Amino acid sequence: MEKQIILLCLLLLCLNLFAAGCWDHIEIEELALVRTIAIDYLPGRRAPYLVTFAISLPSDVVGGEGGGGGAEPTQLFSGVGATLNLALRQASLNLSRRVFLSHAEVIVIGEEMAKHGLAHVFDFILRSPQIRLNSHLVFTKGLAQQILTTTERLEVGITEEIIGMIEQSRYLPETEPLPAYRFLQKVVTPGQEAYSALLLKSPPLEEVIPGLEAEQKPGGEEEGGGGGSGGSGQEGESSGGGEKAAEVLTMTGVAAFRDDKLAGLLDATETRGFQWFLGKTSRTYLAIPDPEQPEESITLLVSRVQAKIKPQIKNGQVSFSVEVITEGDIRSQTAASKLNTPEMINKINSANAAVIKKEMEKSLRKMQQLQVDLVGFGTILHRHEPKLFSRLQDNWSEQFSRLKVEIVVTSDVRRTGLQSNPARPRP
Amino acid sequence: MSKRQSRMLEKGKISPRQAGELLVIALNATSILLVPSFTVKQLGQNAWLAVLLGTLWGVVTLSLVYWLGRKHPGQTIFQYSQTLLGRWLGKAVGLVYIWNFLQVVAIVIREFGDFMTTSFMPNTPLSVFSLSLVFLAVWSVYAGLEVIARMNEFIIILVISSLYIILLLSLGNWDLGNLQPLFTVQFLPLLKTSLVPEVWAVDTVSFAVIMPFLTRPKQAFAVGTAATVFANGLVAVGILALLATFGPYFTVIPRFPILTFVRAINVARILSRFEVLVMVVWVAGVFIKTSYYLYCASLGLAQITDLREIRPVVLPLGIIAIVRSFSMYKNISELETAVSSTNPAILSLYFGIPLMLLLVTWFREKFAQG
Amino acid sequence: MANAFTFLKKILIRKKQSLPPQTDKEEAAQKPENDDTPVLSERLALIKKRLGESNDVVIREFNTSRDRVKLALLFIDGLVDKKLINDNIIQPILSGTIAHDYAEKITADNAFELIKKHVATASELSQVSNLTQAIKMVLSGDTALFIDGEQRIIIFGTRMWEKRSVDEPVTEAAVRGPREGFTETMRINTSLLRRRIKNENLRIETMKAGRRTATDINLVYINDIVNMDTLAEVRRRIAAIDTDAILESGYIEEYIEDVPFSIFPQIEHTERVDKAAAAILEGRILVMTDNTPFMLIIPTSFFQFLQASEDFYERPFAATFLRLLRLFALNIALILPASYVAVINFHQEMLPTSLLLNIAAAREGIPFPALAEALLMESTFEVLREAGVRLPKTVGQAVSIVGGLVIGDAAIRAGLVSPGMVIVVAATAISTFAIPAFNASISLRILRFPLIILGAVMGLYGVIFGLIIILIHLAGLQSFGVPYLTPLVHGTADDMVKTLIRPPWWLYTFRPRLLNLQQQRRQAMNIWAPTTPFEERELAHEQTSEQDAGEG
Repeated sequence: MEKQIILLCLLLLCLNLFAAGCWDHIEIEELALVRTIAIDYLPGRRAPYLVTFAISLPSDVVGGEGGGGGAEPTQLFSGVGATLNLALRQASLNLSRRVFLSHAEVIVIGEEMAKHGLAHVFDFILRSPQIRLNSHLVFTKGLAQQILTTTERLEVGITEEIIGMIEQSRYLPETEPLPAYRFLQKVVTPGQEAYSALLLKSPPLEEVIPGLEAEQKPGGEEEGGGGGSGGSGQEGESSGGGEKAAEVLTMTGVAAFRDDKLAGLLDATETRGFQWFLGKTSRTYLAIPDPEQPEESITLLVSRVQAKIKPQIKNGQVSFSVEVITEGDIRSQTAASKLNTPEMINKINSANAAVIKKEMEKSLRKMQQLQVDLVGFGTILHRHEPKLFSRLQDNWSEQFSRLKVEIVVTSDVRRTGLQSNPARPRP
Repeated sequence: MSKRQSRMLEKGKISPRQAGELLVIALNATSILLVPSFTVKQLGQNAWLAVLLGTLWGVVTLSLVYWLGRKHPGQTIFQYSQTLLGRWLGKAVGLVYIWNFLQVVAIVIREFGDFMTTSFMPNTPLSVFSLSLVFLAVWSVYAGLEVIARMNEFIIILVISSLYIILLLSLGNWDLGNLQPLFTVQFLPLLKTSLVPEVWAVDTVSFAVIMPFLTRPKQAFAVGTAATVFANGLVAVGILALLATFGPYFTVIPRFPILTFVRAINVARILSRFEVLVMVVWVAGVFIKTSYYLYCASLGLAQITDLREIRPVVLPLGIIAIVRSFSMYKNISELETAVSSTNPAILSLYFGIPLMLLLVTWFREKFAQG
Repeated sequence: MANAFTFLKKILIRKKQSLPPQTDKEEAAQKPENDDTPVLSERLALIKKRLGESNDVVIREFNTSRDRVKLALLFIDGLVDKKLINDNIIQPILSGTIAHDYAEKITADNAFELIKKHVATASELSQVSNLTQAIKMVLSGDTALFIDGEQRIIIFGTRMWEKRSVDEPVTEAAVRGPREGFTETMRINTSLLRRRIKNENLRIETMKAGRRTATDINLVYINDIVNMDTLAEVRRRIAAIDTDAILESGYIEEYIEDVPFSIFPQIEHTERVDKAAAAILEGRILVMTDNTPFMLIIPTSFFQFLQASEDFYERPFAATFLRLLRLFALNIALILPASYVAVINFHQEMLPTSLLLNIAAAREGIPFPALAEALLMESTFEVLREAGVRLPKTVGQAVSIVGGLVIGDAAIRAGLVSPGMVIVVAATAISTFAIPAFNASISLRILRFPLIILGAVMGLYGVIFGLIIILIHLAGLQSFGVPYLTPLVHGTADDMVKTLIRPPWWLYTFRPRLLNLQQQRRQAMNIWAPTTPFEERELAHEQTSEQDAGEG
């Protein structure tokens, strides 16, 4: 009937709309694939926001020969602007392709930016339809742009390097990179403060042994690239003699925030300290003093951790009791004591518990000093005693800094590795 | 006369199960998009309770409509309102319902277009989505209720299973502590939130229109209740999942938290990045909902104006819906406020009018006997 | 403009049209004419006039003893079994009229009865009353016996001609199952069916279609299972065919389809005997057409096109796996190129980063946009496939495959297309082959192109838009009253499950419900197997429908 004709006309009309221009149609070779975004703040300028993109360039694999699979050089582009969007716009002026942020898996934020306050960054990330909220946020000392210029690395692209480190850090409690949505979640939840991993660039060994490199190096640290060593990650290698050392990336410690501003940095041990509260410290190594020879130490591998945090209310005063149960294996010792006896194991257990407790208390003190409740005591209080928490909510940071936390650690060493008796030299 | 009329307008019959599935899609297609946002804003981590309470209201509405349908077998609400209240008052009541159905269509189109434009295809003008959606809806209404029900049988499997899959895959991100403290909600805000139409499963009132076309109308209540419970349960579980993953404070930040939710799924680095697939399936669900409501509105208008065929009114109603969708709300905040609030007018529409019709029916019966 | 509307209206909608009057002069001339006489010589002259001087028209005149009765035989050389004519018609008449005492008794008046009942030893015998009918039967291969002075004519069934032997069906080869396929001869086909269904309720109804071809059409069905309304509809539609020629069952298919302009076929065809027999046993109607091995099965549903007969001969797990595989292949065949184009042009965020980089790298330097590339490659493969059909069998397979590979590779080297596209197109082509029914796979191949264009225009939204349009069309399509998407929609759970998986045979208690058959139950419930919930519901349904039938 006529309806069919009318429908046909409508269809043609619709197709006309479609054909008028495919608005979102982007050819794949028009895209500039941004893999890492580095955000910096340069204070005192009219256009303080500095945005740097690490863009992956696909190499030419037409013909299939050469097998250069995966060889992607990364190119950096920067732009400044009064807001992040304007900075982005300026950066894209340098580009022959369209900026495409959906594959940006890492966002590096510089120190100044973190100190200034991340409200604008949050807004930018949340409002943009392209940026995915499970890209990781990491922070750095100094300029974030410097991170992207690191040339000494295992992977070919800088993003792969950082992502690889993020993946590996899942097994390490010394740092914890968070995806953006988790970070944001911690920012907006009352009774919690946000943190995320710290990514540092330094000549190898400097973070581990500060000062050593300064002796060995002839000049200052004006360069980055140049001679040298490979290696990345936690274990650096020494550079060749007195040559200028190449800088590698290290992911260690966290940057702690109060609300959306940087409050302070926690180093590796402090980070591990507060990870004990969260029960996320499995598979880490602990060195405890040998009970019989306190100068020597025994290394334990933590295999399981369980932490329970409970609020205690007494006369309207809040305190917390934390109970940590951990299991471990003995991995090595610097001496050659006999560790196989039950008494010895008991002593090791108490020594372990003492060490852990000390670490936790140290970390707690640092957090209280910075007034950042990274563990989320406030949230726990809110879950159990919402009325009390709502009264304390407004100045929880201050409350937290005066909080009494009682820590009880129980340790259970289960296995001693493949050795039972020490390889003691016999006279 | 009215029985013959209804037979001329719609010759098809749908089974109760198909009617239930239509109801599920009508409830689920758009609610998962906007409902979490404002319920969590109002109720925090107990938002899912509002949805469960809303199920109750939906079942109440359904029972009112069901009894009306049993008392006037073979007639839609547009027909028996004329019988009960006289021709002109009855037509006015019918007109109210038609207006409401059309409103739903307009809101759905607008929501849909906004969602697609903000999230997936920013450069495409909204009219493209509206026009194409209404085009498909008009076509399927021409094809008839049976066709819509048949398509739905196929589409609903896709929609529900995709929801299940994303819920399953997101389990790795859950932290059930986020749901605490439980049950700390006060009754009045809970009631208010649960009475918001989207939460409340008002789509059950559409049964007043399709009940005469069921093969076994007696089962309408059982099937409708099952559908309401299932659909609202699914929405509640969705809200639970959102809360468990993001916590109540972060859930209110994104405009479409479910989109962020799907984007956050990352299982073994392989199973990630399928928000577009979810979108695709969801488009099909929205299409069915639009067709269904457009059908109810067109059938109503055809019955009120005593037309022989439903076809002449479908296209004009579709165009009216498109125009309404543009002109109703100037920007998306207006849309959100409208969707998330309730007012007595709406309550009277869903509760009051069926109740009144039921009372009139009852009086008439007594009067006839005595 | 109004004329255009009404014309379009007429051809888009199938309505019952009144048949146009016959204006053909020859048709008028072929009415049972009044110049047919019992006089033999005049008759023969008439025959010569009508049939002309074709040299395969044979007229054999002979007389009984002592020239009492003059007789003449008419047959077409090449269509008849001459031995039968010699031994069973001519010989008994000639010798019979001499040897037995008919020789004395036979006269022009009783010749007809005598020959018909006592003399002729041919097994098939009938009579007609005028020349036109006789000529019609002679043209089909029968032999007509004219008796001087007798209006009635005896027709002997003497059909024999060169025929193809029963062989494996070419288009529907199967791994397991009988290798018998239909041939062009109707009688052989019916015999093949009879051998499989030895039930007295198997009916073979004859109709004729085509004015000049007078093609025999047989409707085969089982009388107490089939839905009588469907049968009546089929009969009505075939009877309404008024055309010159019916050369193949495809002609009939087009004439009786519900929606001729749909891309999807609404009638199934098959060359395999076991598939036809299974269909009949399920309650469907088989339409057999003379001179073609392809038989039509009415009614059908979309999911029939995904079934191969060996599904039912292999074991359940294997069959289920294959069926699911085919469903998957169906999706790939239809959606993959369009999705590929849509994703790399609109939804790049969907791809894992490394894949995206690889594809982007591969597409460096390709001059065409992805849409043009896709259409180009798809068209090329379609042409290759079509060409492969025409090549001789020994060469065809190899050329298609090698041609595809070589052309694809050369195109990549020349920088015309990207490797990703070639893979997509190749995967699509292979998936299309996995669909058992040829007519359905053609529909998919056609639909692929609009979907690719929609995908390039609006991304995955465009693809779903196109798919919904297809779905609307399919959901409204009916094949002789049976909804096309049965049983996945609108069917019982039992039937729905059977499209996806193939349960063991002892669970197939009921025939497809939606065919509205007279008898739903196929077999006794297996006493060793537990009653599935489906079966319980079906039994309850059976009882209620009996009650309903009793009430209403």
